[in-house]
Amino acid sequence: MVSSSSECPIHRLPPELVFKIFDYLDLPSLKSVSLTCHRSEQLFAEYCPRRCILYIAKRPHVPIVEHLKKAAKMLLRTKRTYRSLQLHVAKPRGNKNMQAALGQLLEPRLLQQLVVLRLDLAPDSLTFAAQLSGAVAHMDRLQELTIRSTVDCFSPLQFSELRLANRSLHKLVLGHVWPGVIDCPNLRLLEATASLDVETIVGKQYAQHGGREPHWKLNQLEELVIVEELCMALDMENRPGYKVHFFRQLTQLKRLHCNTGYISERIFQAIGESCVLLEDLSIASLHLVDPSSLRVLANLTRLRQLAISHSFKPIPLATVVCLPSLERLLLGRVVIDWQKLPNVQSLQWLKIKPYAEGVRQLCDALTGPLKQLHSLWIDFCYAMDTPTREEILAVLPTLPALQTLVLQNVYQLQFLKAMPPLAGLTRLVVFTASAYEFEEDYTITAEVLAQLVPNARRVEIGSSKPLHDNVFTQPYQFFKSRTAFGYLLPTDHHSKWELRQYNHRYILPLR
Amino acid sequence: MPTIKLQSSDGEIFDTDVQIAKCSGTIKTMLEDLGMDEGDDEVVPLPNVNSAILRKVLQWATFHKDDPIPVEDDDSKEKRTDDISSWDADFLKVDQGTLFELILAANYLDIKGLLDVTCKTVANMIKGKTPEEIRKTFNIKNDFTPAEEEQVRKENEWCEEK
Repeated sequence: MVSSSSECPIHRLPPELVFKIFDYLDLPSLKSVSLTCHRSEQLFAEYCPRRCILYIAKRPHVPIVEHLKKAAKMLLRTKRTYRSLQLHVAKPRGNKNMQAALGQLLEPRLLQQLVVLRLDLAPDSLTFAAQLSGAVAHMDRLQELTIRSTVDCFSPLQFSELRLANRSLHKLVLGHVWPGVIDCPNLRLLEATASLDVETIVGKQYAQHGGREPHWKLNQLEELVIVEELCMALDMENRPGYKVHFFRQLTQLKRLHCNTGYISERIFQAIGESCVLLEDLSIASLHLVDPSSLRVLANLTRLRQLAISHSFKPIPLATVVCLPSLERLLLGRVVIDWQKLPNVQSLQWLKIKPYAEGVRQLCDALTGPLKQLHSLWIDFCYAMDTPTREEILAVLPTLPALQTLVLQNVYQLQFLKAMPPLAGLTRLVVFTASAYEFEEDYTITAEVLAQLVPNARRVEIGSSKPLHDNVFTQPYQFFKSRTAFGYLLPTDHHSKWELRQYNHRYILPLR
Repeated sequence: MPTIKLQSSDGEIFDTDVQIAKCSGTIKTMLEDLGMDEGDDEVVPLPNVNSAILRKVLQWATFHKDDPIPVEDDDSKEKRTDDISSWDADFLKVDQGTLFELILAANYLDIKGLLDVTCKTVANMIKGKTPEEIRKTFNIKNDFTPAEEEQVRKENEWCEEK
């Protein structure tokens, strides 16, 4: 362990401890470390796969072919092992030199070590698609593959030459790209943009081949995520019969997120009857003609998270009550019968968007025995008046286990003064997420915070305007378009709070 | 207050509060696994820590004995280095040798809080510096030829955060 030739104390530490120090460093500092001596470069090379990706992208003023050749040359000489590669070369344009350069880059030694590969495909890169198919087949360690189209369009790019056959692949992400074949026996997670309409494509294959899947083999999937995008597929309910076929085959599914389009009654029935292993079901929009058909949920005895952002009809919560494992219920613009809420005893996480007319019921429900509820997210309607909001806040102290409180669409922190003190709270998040201009006021003093949330370890504030005040003295950073986020950490005994910049890496998941 | 005896590598015995000694996961496990009782006069040998470092470690543990147990949750993803308390910053104003001995001791004794804050301190000594400044700080001898150094620099250009 002790290297006598080196006097540097860092090199006397075992690598795992050096890497612990590296964890606290930003990438430019790490690169500086790698340039100090051979031993440091060796340590960085070992550490590199945890944090870094080999990123080969088009650069301004450098011909792309030259650039790829340089990358290939570097890879030939390197002593480092790269496990992740991102190729962002825009338009290969069928250029012969380009194909050769790409071929050089995807050389066997690199392919053998790659675990993650992300790349872009242009509409006319047919030869590259074929080249890529051959390469993918030889990547023995590949676990994650992302292929995105370089153009946004309403219909996906079809590449019948693109055959994704790989034995180790675990996760596949498809953005607007439609491969001819997916044959990966260990594929567990598929993430696809809605434009692909995976459900219909594969459902059609099942329907036409008597339950077999000749092109895309997906019935071993455990997770399916349909990602929302700006240009939504227009014809969602094109052939629902195909979608039913699709979900009937996905009996291994544990996580299903349909973040776009709507789920019709027939499809919902198929999911409830076939995907009985589901633990996490997230639906953007539910379209039930007869709300009582929600009863099929009772089949999903392992369901731990249920999210419904929008429903055309009121949802009878009575059917949710029978879910014994349900821990997280996330509801958007959904009308439900709040009285049943306290019966969901296992509930730990609740997100609601209350309507003014249901507030009385909601408050009664919250004062019921929700003994396990530790996180509550309230998305206030902009139209809701202050007294109604205060009425909801007033019942919060009756939740005995509440630790995290998220208040969405609060644009005047003064409003918090109406909240009774919450001694159990360790995390408070307040933000607006609106494109509208409101009179925002994010001034609040340390004394008020100390009184409201005496035991908070974090207070996070998100605003669409710069944060300022004696508490908010430091610059903020824009995060996710309009919203500026800062978070406050208590210093010695809550006498003072410090505003920290929100760095993308620091955001804690707020599911 | 029940105490136990800790013996450093150079033979010095430290009569220590059990509560303070148990900040160390290693000692805690030892006491539990070996069924050592407080009344016993047995000595816990710590062959990897010398008396000077053990004294420092116990000083840190005494100050932090009432800290909540650090939880390994999502928060651990947050790799900040600017949240070192002023007491810790003062405590760690030591020579580099001692600082690195403390890292090794904290790791051996399994004291998460001390390991975190010492690693952060070293990270702060590196952050934002040029390679030459880092060499100077840690007395690193540059054994690259200019060509080798240039190659590493070029290769680094292809590296990006995941």
